[in-house]
Amino acid sequence: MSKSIDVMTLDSSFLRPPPSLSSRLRTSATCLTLLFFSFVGVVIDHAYQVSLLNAVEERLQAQIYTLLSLADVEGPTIDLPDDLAEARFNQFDSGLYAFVLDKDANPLWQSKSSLLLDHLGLYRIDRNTREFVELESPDSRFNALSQGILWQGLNGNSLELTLWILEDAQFYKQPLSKFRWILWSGLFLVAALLYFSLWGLMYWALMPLNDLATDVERIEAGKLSALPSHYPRELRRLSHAFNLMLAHERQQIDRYKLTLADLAHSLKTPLSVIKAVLHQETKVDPQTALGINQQLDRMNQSVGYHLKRPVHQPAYSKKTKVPIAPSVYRVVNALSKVYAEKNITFQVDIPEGVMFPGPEDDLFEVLGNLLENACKYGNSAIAVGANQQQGPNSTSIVEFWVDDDGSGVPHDKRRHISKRGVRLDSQEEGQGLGLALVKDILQNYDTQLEIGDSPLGGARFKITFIHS
Amino acid sequence: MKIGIVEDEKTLRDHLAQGLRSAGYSIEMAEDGEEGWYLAQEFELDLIVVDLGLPKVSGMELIKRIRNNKDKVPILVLTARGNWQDKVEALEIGADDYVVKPFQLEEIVARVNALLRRSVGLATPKIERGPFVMDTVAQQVFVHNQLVELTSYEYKILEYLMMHPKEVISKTKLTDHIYEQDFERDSNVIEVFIGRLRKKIDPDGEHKPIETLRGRGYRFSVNLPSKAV
Repeated sequence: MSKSIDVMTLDSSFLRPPPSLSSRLRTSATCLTLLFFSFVGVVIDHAYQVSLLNAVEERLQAQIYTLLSLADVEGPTIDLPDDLAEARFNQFDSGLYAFVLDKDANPLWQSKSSLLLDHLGLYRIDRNTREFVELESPDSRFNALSQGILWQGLNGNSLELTLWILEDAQFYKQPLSKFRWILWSGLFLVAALLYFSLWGLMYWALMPLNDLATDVERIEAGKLSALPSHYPRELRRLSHAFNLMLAHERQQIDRYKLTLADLAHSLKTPLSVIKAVLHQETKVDPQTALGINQQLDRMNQSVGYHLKRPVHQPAYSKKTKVPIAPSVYRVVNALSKVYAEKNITFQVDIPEGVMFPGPEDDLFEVLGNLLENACKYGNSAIAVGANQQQGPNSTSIVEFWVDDDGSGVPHDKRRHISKRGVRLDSQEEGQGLGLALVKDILQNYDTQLEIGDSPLGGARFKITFIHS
Repeated sequence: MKIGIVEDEKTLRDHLAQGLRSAGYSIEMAEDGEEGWYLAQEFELDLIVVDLGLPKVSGMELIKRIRNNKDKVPILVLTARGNWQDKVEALEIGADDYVVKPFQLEEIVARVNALLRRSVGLATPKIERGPFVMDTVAQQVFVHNQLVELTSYEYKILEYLMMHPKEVISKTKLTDHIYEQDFERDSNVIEVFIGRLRKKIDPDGEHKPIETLRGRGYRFSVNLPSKAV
């Protein structure tokens, strides 16, 4: 079961992680805001442009009616006053121009303002029709309204005319540009305001998720035992389920440890009994008794060694961190009692906040075995120290060491000393398993036991942990 | 010295009792925590060996009760659970030493001996009181470097007196620490042993190490003769 989970975890590590919730929301908010305001801007701009052009057309139409009201046809030509009421028709380049063409598109009359205009390409329009177009000269653009009329004179003569009123496009473009500037800057401000409001809302809405992530990190760091209950309703079921899972896993680990401890107890007591019976039995040949005793010791070592090992490998527990100093003081106080006769001076120098990257029982096994060895093989002084430094990539490097003032470990024995059943003496009690167990536990933390010389003159056992 | 053994496994209990008796100790036994608690309350024990995995009342609970009762009797713990958390917890609640099962009897005897010595403030297995020297491991007594042959009971009485020097030890207390519960007691037997001891360790009456305090008991004290200057 656990293998398949490992494989799934391994496979998923090759995939790109999905984007975070905040980046999803940020991207969607940006896209939506841009699309919405662009669309709104384009629609309003177009509507204004249309209404502006309508206004121009109406204005030009009014000028046509004014001209017609002043016109008088005499024979094949038309008579209009040189100066018109609309002052712009009387000034050169005023921007408002008027033309009257005959049926062959020859000019019959043009306003004073248009005398300098040329190459406009004005043409004839059928009678009773009207065209609103855009004309171009080499220098300017114009909005132009033309109307074809059939003039019936009083004497029965009729004259087919085309009236053109041109207005410089500047009169249309200037208000349009001004409107556009106001429109788009206004929309931009509103969009920015909305975007930042959305940002604030997202932050506020996602805050419980950030709190949840922080609380989970604190659980991983061993600073919290369960998720608190202050989450919003939507997350409460998740936090409740998470807490249930944590409690269940802890119970499983405890049950597992208890089962193993009971198993150890149920196996070791009979082993003690067999040893006792063998000790009392006088009929057994001493050589045979020695052989049986050796096998019993091997069985005991195997039971102890293999029953302890799995306890150190619960996946979740490896995420826990515990402070080193309190456990060191507890083990030192306990051992001071056991080794009271040796009158050992313990010196503990461990700053507060130096953490062991695993569960407390692993720390106890490491400390117990290393410190008991120091008590056995040291003379009168033991020093325990630790420090924590910042490592690369936001990691912490924790160094922990136990020094004694015994005779030390010879260089050629250092590699073998932590093998199972290997011991350098035959006098002290124990089964030569302590350092092998420490080594096994440390393997779970990707580190190892370094054996060196201590400043006190004996051996130094040092461990370096790197944790994130 | 009287030792209580609280162990539920009969064979192991008997084996321990036999081994400790051979080492010169009187033994009282209990097969569960409740009996162990009775033992600790009713008998003048010099040391208790407690298995942690006991029925009825657990070993840990028994140790707690003994310590809560202001009883300073040394406690040696037997445990099949070799993990350090259990060992540290047992030592924290009042145990003085631990032995992990399975054990060699010699290891238990050595630990018992060491704990008993430690409980009376002795640093080495040798008790030296003037010319009287007792080797508690070899169970031998020397006077002026001469080995003195003692019977088992004579040794036990002398060991108890030498371990509690200058203390008045009543006849009842001495009997309690020397004899086991079902031993038939005779009011005169202690006096007989004391008389024999005096003859063996101080035949000339030079030091008079064992005083009799009428109606109160006995006291071991050595008055060294002042040296001529």
